[in-house]
Amino acid sequence: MNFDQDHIDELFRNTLENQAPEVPLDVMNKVLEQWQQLSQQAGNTSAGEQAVGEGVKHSDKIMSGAGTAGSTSGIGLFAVKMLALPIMVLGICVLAISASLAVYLVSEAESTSSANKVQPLPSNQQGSSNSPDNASANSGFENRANRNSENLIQTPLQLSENSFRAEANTLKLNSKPMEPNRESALGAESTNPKNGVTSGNNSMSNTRKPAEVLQNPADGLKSADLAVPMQIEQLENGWVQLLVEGKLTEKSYIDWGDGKIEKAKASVGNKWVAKHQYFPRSNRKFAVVLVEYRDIEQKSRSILAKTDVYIEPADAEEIIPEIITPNGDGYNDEFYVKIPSPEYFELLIFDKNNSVVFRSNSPEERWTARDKNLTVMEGEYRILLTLKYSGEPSHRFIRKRLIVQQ
Amino acid sequence: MINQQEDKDYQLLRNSLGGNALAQKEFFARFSKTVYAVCLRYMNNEDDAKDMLQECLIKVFQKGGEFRFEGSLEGWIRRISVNTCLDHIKKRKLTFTEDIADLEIAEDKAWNSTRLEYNDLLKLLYQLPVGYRLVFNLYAMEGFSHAEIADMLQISENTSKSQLFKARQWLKSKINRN
Repeated sequence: MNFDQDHIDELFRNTLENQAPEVPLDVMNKVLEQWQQLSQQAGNTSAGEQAVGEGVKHSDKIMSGAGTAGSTSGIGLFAVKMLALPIMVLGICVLAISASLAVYLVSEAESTSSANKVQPLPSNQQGSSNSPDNASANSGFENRANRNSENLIQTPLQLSENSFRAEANTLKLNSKPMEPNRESALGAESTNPKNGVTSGNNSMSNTRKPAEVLQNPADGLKSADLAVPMQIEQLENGWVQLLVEGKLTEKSYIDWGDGKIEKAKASVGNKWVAKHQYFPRSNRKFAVVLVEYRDIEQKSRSILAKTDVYIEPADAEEIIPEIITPNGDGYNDEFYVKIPSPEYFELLIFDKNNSVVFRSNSPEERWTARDKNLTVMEGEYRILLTLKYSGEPSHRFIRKRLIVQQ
Repeated sequence: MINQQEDKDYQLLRNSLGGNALAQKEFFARFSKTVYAVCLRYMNNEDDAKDMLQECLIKVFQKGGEFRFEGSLEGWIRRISVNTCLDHIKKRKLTFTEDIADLEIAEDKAWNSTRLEYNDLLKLLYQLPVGYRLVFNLYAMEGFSHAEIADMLQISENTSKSQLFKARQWLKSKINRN
């Protein structure tokens, strides 16, 4: 390779501009927080006894912030805007609330038969609780209901019908093409390691299928030789579930074999469960080891149990539809994203005017592309997806175009 | 004809400044990467770049009211970011060394990204003394003229030229060797 000087410039320019890494998630949260504060301050100062010019500028911003003003050049209305400012601030709040309410109402009306996929979720659900397997079954549902209780969205009546709806939902889903494989519900009836909720009483247990990969006491070790019997089950999207019987100590850790070592958390009795998601780039074997560290520096450890798991990358595929056809024929009627369970998920759908028509923090939620009267809103939309999987260094933005056509 | 993308950007800026949280998120998604790329080039490590990114984005927001809604919003944001980085660097006294021959190669730093090509070049950039790096960034990446750079950094045009020449020479020798 030989570069002349212009090529040097070009090489650096192209590479350093186009391949820049994504912004770290923590910075994003900090900045968004500060932006909120700044814009609130701006609102306050202009509402108070600030210089007239300042006030006009701010009120202009807020006018357009509410989506009412297409241009900021309304010069003749200074005084009116100054007065209108506090009202506008209120108006924004009302608009925001009614917008989210409208989205909720639409989805609620659309899905009387499959209620559990349309519940709007609070935004902070970073745990494993939004994995598709337990979200579609009881434990996840109760979990979700708890988190929703502040919003007063879920009524006791709905709660009592959980199992029925979850089941109906599964049936409905199975009859559709392009559907995530719901059989992973097999993982959902066991103890949820995060919150200790035990739920294993409904018909879901019938769908439990034999584990695909399994139990492979490696390297000549037999289970009987080991201190702790351990079993691993593979769920969808690269998730695995580890079932262990035996006592845990403070020094017990799970080495998932992909670089992540986590402390084993004890749960009810001698049985406990742990979940983990892999992101393999190709077919490969991971050795899962349950270990006990002998010293605090975690240098020497003894293996309590060991097993292998084979992960296929196809499980971790992302499918984001580019077109949906909400004509009620059962094919591609709703928009949703098929992805492995993320640690962070946010889906925004914008219409032509850049206003948000749908917002979700769960891959489970679907957009029906219908308005209040259940009329299909045909047209072109834009999707902004913010994703982060556990194990990924930073979140990713995915932008796509979506066509809605009957 | 009005450029549609620019029109969308303008709307996004207005809505963000108005306090619309969703617009702010979209705004962040749209522009933060550009700003981060700038910060990574001007700072000489990832941590500083992260701090700087935050500072730049706050600055963008504070100065948002001064944007005249003409020309490229992205270009304007980039300008603010570059200036913020420069201000930060200029707080310390700048030295423009003339001799780059015995520049030591720093030890490889662990990066949590798989994009080797990007990180390789960035690492090379980080090994340049600050003066060389600034001039190279401003000229080759941002496209300022030597006169503009001289004005920005309070140096002579000739210094700017020689710094650029040597920076390129050095980078070239490193890249050709690999």
